[in-house]
Amino acid sequence: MRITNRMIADSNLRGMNGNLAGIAKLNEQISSGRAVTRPSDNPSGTSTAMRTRQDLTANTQYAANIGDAATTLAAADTALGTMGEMLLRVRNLTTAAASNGSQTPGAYEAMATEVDSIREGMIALANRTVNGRPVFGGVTSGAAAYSAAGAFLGRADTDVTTRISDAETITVGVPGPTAFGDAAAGEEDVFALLSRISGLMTATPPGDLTNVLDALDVAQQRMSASRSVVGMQVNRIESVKAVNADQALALTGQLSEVEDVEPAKAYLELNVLRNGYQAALTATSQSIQTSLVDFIR
Amino acid sequence: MSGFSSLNLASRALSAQQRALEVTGQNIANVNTPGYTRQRVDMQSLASTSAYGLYAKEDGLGNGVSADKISRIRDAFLDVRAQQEAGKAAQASVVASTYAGIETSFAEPGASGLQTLMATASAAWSSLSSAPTDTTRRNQVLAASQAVAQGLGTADAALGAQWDNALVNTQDVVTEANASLRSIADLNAAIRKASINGQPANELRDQRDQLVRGLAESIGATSVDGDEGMVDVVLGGTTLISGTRASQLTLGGGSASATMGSSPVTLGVVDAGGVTIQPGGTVGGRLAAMNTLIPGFRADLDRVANALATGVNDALTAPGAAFDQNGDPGTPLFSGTTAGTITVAITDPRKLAAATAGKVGGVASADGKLADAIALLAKDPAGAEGTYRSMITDLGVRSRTAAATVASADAVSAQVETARQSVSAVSLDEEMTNMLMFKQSYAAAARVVTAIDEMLDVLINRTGLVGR
Repeated sequence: MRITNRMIADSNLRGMNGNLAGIAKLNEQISSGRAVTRPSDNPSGTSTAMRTRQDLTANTQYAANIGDAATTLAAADTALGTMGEMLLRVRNLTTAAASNGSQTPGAYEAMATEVDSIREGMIALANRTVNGRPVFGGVTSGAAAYSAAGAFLGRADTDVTTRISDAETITVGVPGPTAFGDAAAGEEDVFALLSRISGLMTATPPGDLTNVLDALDVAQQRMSASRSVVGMQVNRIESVKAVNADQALALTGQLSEVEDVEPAKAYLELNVLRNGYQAALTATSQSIQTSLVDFIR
Repeated sequence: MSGFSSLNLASRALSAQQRALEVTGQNIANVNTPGYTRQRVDMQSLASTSAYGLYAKEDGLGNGVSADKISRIRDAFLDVRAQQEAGKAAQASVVASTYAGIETSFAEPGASGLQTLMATASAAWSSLSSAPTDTTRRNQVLAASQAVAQGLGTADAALGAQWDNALVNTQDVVTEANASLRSIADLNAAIRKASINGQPANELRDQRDQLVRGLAESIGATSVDGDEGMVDVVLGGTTLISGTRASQLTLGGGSASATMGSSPVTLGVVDAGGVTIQPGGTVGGRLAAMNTLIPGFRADLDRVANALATGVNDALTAPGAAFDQNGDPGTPLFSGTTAGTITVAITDPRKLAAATAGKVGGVASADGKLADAIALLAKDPAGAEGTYRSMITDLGVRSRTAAATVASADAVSAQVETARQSVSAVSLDEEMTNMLMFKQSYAAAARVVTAIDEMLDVLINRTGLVGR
């Protein structure tokens, strides 16, 4: 084969170009830290990366949902706790009023006022909202669970649920009727009971308060049962939160495995290519340096 | 043979070697000229003049050397192959760069692609399901959906812009090809005139072959050697140049990105009554991009938009299972079913349905189960996300294949080009050797002149001097 200067120059150029293209690609990967910057770099990896990114976004949202649920449950828990203490105070007042028939009408009046204000406080607590939604209102779209008169305004027909993973939802909180007594089902709810107690106290002569104590116990039990339900839900949320965090770690790892550059491998490859490039440069500088011209006098 | 005719022979030898040296000089001067084909003086020994006649005499000696003809060293077969391979490589390169452009307009995988926008919208729905009466979250769903619609519109517009660019570029290339066609026909005419007059036209031929090579790259045309040194240029069975007559090309069919796919762009020959031809090269690649590749991906993008609009709207308008914050039946979120036309139709956040239960006792439900179901649509392999993902995977596979095709076409083209250069390109070492050779021959011929001169000197000045 006849070898010409142009052929040597072209093939040298092609070799150097090939090496440089490889170096440029690796440089892009190393400087951006990403092994896959366009779908053609790794088509199946791109698909995995996209799915993983989607899962990661969903996972982050589930973590936010879990946070929402935890806030709601914490509000429900404190409300139920405080209300339990308030109810205890009512029970003490009622016991005092019932056992000591020698109270003055003024004292009854004062006790009734306190019961009324406790009732108002309990209604306020029952109307606590988180993210604009009343904690004890069920799935209501309204802003309050109970009216000022103590009537249930919410909807207890469906449980409030929150999605915590692709496959699971959990029930969050207890609706007012479960915690405080279901007036619609003919039960006397705690607010009606307090009204009745206050009414008996202000009646002249004061009514018989001994048998409301049983009703107060029933109300107390309902609330503590609800509080333990909330407590169980809080436990569930805690464990779910840990699972969610583990999953986020796993997904991030998975994404990094597909998308990120493995530094050791990349640097090694870069060195190999750099050697190749240097070899090409040396060969080029040696090969077309001399010709017969240099040897003719 | 007379002494004077010997001088003639020597002078012919001198001028032949000089001519060869000149050609060597021309070769060395053009060692780096693109398209230059090395030349060689065809030396031929001259026979003695033999006169046929009664008293004809033949002394049997030759008449020296003739160096009239200067030929280009080329292999016509390799030239045509180089044209074909250059056309294929140019076409493959355009297809690959089209795919690369489409990849860039989708920006996947990454945090700025459509995938992220859709995932954000899903997350907004999930967030709404957790607090269905929160107006901020309702607005978030609307904003995220708006962003998805805009993202689809942007990707669609990017494809449209790529199509428009391809058209403008093709028009430029066709204009240039038309100019080349005319130049080649003109050069053909000049070469024909020269060859009839017996003049060498090697430089004109180089120039013409370089233009044909350009046409091979731009439209995939090849040349066929014709009479009197001219070439014909053919493309897919249609003759574009026949001798000194050149046809002109024109683009027909679709002229706007809006009608891509339905009205294909075609390349026609003006003079042949608008016959359309299938070009290769750059134009062939661009026509494939405009008629198949870009419309294909736009249709895919429309499918994504349609899956999104249909999926969300069907869920939002399910009879008896979709209610907004007021407790009224849900209304569609998206209007339009193509990537270019999809928009968000709801402006009042309260009108966004999120509940599956209707009003009970005048109180609207805020169960959020519908919002949750819509958030879960993202997991459906046949949904918008799944469709988009398989579209991007398909794009990646095809772009990768196109890049591999370019690499192999380039390698073949380089190999053919090397083979062609092995024949046609100038080798400096060879020219130097030739130069030495011709220089020595010239010196030797000059020595012959000196020898004859001395002979004549003996004859003229020293002969017949007896008795002087």
